[in-house]
Amino acid sequence: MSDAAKTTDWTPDGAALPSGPQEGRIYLLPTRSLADGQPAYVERQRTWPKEARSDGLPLEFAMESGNRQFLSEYSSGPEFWEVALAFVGPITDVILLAVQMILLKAGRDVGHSDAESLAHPVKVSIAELTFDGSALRGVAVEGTGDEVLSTIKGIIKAAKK
Amino acid sequence: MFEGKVPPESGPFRVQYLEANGLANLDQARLWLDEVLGGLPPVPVELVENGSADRARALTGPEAHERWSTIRRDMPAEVLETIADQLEGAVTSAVAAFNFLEDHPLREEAHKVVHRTAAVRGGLLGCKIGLKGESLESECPVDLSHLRWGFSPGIVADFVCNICSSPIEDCDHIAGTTYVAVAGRFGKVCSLCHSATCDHVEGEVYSIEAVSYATAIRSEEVSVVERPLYPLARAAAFTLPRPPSQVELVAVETGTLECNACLGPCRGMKTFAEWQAGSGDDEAS
Repeated sequence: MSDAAKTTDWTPDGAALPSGPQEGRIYLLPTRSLADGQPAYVERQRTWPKEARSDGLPLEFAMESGNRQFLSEYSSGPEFWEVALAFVGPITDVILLAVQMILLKAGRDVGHSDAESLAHPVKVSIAELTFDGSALRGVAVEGTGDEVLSTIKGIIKAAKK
Repeated sequence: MFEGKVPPESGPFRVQYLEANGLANLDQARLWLDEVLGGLPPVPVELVENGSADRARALTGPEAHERWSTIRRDMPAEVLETIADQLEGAVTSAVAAFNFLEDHPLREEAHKVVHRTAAVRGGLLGCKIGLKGESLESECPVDLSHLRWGFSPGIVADFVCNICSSPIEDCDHIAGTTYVAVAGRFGKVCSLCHSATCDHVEGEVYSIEAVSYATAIRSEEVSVVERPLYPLARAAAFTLPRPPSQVELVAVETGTLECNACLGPCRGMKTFAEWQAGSGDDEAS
């Protein structure tokens, strides 16, 4: 399996970052914005943290309840799936598990097998945060699910050295 | 069929949804058209492709109109009334089939059924053009079904869990799972089923499936897209891109202004950009 995903530097929108992030948690960032510029999640992301929790993964929304907005767009698509995550502390295998869970969940929701989900085009953006909630560094990885997971695995391995 | 739920936006579920609805509508359109045609003398319902000006004149010229007029004249009023409902239904189903089957191998078959049903409807019932403000307005099913774009609203909403009334993203209840819950009230509606007229008694305990209900729904915008999530979310009428003539205004007043698009031939599909540019002829007659 090729790990030829495309990687680019990425800086998340500051308004989308969690305030007071905690180590050991993974934050799901909104990837859209409304007409007034406010960050918004895509509707299909609404239940991801809840389902991750039931799988034992520490995924939660970056934006607090009451400030979250979920945008439904009634057109057929999208062609690729987009996920943005943030965390504090070193990148670990938990990030990889969270990305995999999200990809498989996104695929199952529309009827794909797991193999089809991992072959689907996806863009995963990951940001490492400081404890005061600002972005330390970020990377966007784009490719098939398998390619992206392989690339993230390589990033984790490099971080452990 | 996925009636009542938001259609799947992509993937195998969407393919199944489109095919199931498309085939059901196609079958219905064909059935009704066959029933109507079974009771009529031979009618000109051929689909004529672009470029055949002679065939176009044959289908829409005075001789064709006279043939249709003769058929209408010789038909008992009660028969025409029965056929009218079936024809309208057949056209509606044919257009729906075409919209559902847009990316399916049966797309062209559905396209032909649109033309056949609409031609019979146009010939027997007419395809009236009306006045909206100072513009002529058409609801021609052939013209509208050949506009290959639809509407996609962008909507923001909160969803609450019927079991605990929390935002569904914050609670631990899983949609589709049965839980025990106490019935409450949100204003006039039941917290469990969101009905104002259900049998749930406030304070009583019920075993019920977890679902989510939308609240605080807000429309952000409406976009024009090639593939609307709801395949039938498309234009229902359009105004002709030129002011009406005096002759046309009189004809509108007397209810005799009709379009010829449904009688044929097919003049091809239009994207949103092509439609905006005003390409193609208008067909008021």
